[in-house]
Amino acid sequence: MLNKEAARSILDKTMAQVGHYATAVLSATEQNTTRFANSEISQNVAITDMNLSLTVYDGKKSATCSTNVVTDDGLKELAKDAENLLKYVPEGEFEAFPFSDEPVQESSSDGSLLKAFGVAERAKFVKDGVAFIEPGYTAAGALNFNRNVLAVGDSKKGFRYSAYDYVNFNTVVTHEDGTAGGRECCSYTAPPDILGCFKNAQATAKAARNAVSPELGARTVVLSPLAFADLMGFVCYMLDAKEVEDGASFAMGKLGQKVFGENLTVRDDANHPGLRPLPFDTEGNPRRTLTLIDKGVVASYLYDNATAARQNVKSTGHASIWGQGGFPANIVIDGGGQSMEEIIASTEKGIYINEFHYTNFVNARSLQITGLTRNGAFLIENGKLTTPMATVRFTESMLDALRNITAVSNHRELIGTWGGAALVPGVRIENFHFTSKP
Amino acid sequence: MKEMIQSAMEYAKSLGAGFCDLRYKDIHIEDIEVENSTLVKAEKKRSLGYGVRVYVDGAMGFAASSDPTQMNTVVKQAYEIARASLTLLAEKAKLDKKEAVQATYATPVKKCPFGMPFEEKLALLMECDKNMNATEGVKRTCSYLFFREDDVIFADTDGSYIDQSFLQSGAYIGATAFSDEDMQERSFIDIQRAGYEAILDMNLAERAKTIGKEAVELLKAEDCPSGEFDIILTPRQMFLQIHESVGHPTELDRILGSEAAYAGRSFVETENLTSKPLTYGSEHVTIVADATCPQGLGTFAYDDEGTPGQNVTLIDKGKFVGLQTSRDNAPKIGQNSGGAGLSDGWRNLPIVRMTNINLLPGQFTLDELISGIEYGFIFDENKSWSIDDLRINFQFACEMAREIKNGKLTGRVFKNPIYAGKTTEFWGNCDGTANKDFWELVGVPNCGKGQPMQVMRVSHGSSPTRFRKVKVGVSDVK
Repeated sequence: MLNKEAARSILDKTMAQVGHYATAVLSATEQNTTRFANSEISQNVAITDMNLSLTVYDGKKSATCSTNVVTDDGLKELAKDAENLLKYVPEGEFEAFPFSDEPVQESSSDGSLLKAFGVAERAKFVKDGVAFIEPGYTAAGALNFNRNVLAVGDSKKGFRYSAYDYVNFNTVVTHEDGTAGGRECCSYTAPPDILGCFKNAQATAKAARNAVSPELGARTVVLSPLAFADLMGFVCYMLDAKEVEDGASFAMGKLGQKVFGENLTVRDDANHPGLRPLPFDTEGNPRRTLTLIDKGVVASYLYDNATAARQNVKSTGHASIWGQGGFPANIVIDGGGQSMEEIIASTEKGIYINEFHYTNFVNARSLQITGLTRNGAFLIENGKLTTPMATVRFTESMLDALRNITAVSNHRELIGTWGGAALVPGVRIENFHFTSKP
Repeated sequence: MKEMIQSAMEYAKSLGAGFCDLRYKDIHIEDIEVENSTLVKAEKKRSLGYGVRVYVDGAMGFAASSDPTQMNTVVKQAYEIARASLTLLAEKAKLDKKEAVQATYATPVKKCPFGMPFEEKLALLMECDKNMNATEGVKRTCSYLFFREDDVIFADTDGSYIDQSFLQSGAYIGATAFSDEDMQERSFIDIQRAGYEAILDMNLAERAKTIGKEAVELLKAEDCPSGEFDIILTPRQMFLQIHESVGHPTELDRILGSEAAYAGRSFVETENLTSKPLTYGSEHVTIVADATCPQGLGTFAYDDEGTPGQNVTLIDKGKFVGLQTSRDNAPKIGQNSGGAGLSDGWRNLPIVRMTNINLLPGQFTLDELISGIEYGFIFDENKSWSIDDLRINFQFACEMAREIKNGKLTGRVFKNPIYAGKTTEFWGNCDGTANKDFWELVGVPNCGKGQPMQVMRVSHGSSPTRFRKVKVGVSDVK
């Protein structure tokens, strides 16, 4: 993988080619995925890539070019293209923001995941896991091991570097009749329990057979951490200050107001043990630990430099490669006082949901989301999981659902999210609406 | 480059690979974005690299790299990965038979966007921005242009060497109106495999005026009623309806379980082609996967496995008759590849991807379709989508509903229209689609599938199409 010296050298060579003030973001990845389907390895891939994005500034003018050709000639061409483009652009809103010199704790991989998840080891994990699959069932899934480097710098010798490894795994075990159970796990540190996931998915698939078609309407639901993380991703993305500026977010004008229930507290915390160890953002700002929702109150938005400047506040260090605004990559949701078993045991009638599929906004402003159950849903009757339930669609506003949380589990799981991971409990929600079914 | 690639193929053979193919792609992208009358993005990107697929004793390995000087090392890596795949191999992979091909192809282009003055492109976006902001009440505007050129070389150990060049030109304009309580947006997006002439044909500046007006109009509108209604979907919603409920379910890899743990499976079975005939829709529904369709994002001479682009009929007058296939899965149903083996850039493995999935035009005019509705709506421009993992139950939302009463448009509009249905029942309730004068090809920028995730751009053509007895809205579910 690209080490610190090599990363610095690429940025130095690039900056030597530009005549204006410039900033650069260098990312490097090694992505290794062993995919399996029908209980055999179906795809097995390794991808090595790098991307260097260079932005040059002239007052309020700026132009960006990027390349993955990081040879001397490639870097020269990159700088030339950016300088050339700069000649034609009109002024934008801001001059370059100062590159932060605030110290951050750089991260580096200890190599333990690399040893555990080489190509032969990944194949063995899958083979050993498939051995747990019973006759009549098949397993599918993916074991993914990524190595990542992010370096940012500017033409005034500002420089930050971070490297981390990440493993994530998911499997779905499916019976010949089509019913299925699923499980997933991820880690930035120690190897996660992959074989445990196979066993759990097999047990869920077995319990999910002979499912009944559910009734539509408002129901009590108990969501696994995986299912709850899916919904909370939508809520947290909408705390992006750019979404708020654009009038797209439920949180517009709601800062400091109680919007959700008392039992919901959410942070974005890059320093939390076990979460993605990336201490700065793509603008070089330290990632600050933010309380986003404090006992139901909208406590903070997520800022990059531009949105912070417009609001006359300091960036929270949440710029990302995906454009303007702040992005939550290290979500931590406070746990409650009960185990998942106790929550189920205290539910007279409801539905336990293991996983959602194809969730999406219906209306972002009202936080209305739709999606379907998948890979294991069960009726809860008198405190026990009983009848398996066939796929059903929900359409629900999270503004309502997150006021109706009546239990939060003390058990939390690390769930892979778009661009990071989240530490999430399970919950019970009342009055959750199922609106159609296959 | 040709020598280096052919040498890599020889090297793969010398290692003992049963088969090897390689995709080398040099991709150039230009993005220009204007937001609220300010240029917020002027960006050029380049991504160059190659992906190597190797089969060893029926097991597959794939490696990709951005460093062309390491081609043999990457071939060796793919070979070693294939050997690791032998650890758990139930059935040896078998590719279909294919002729060795030497060919070249380029997207027909009248005006190359990369060679045009930056100022001209920016001026168009600024004009769109101004026109959207001409309506009082518009709070945010966004316009962007994007261009992408893919220079692609395909080679394999059977002796194929194919050199293709594809050019995409796309545009987006959108206006937002919002209040303390609500936000509404009107937008237009399109991408085509064509030059800048496609951008000019989009008539963006004129469209921008309407988009600004309608965003403000929507903010004042009432929510679309819930209930069972007859509706007409415009091509700007039909593209999504076709994509999710016909395109994905008819991908053979999904049907065979390859995507079971991620994108999902399909209600369609391979036996539906033989012993268990499937009625997918009404007689008005004929849908093809057409890689030869002019200006489609899925238009090419050869796919990423070196198979010729084809026009495959999926549904013929309502009857399910064909699947989308690639080289590794077509032999499992006794077929040769239908030419749908495509990869997102150089980094990824070719998997079954949609080309251009098109609903063929019917005989009606739009007025004739409207005149057949006592009370209902025209739904326009998608804004939300969701479908279950077997592709049966879908729910989509659009930007705008136009009211139809007694066979005529009333001029009234509603916001937040949502509709839901079951795939074959819904297509079975299609009782007419408009003729070729109303037919439109719409580019989709973000079709996700696979692990690692691949994001493809595909096109879908259709005319305004009428569906009976559709479940509209969710507010009646208590």
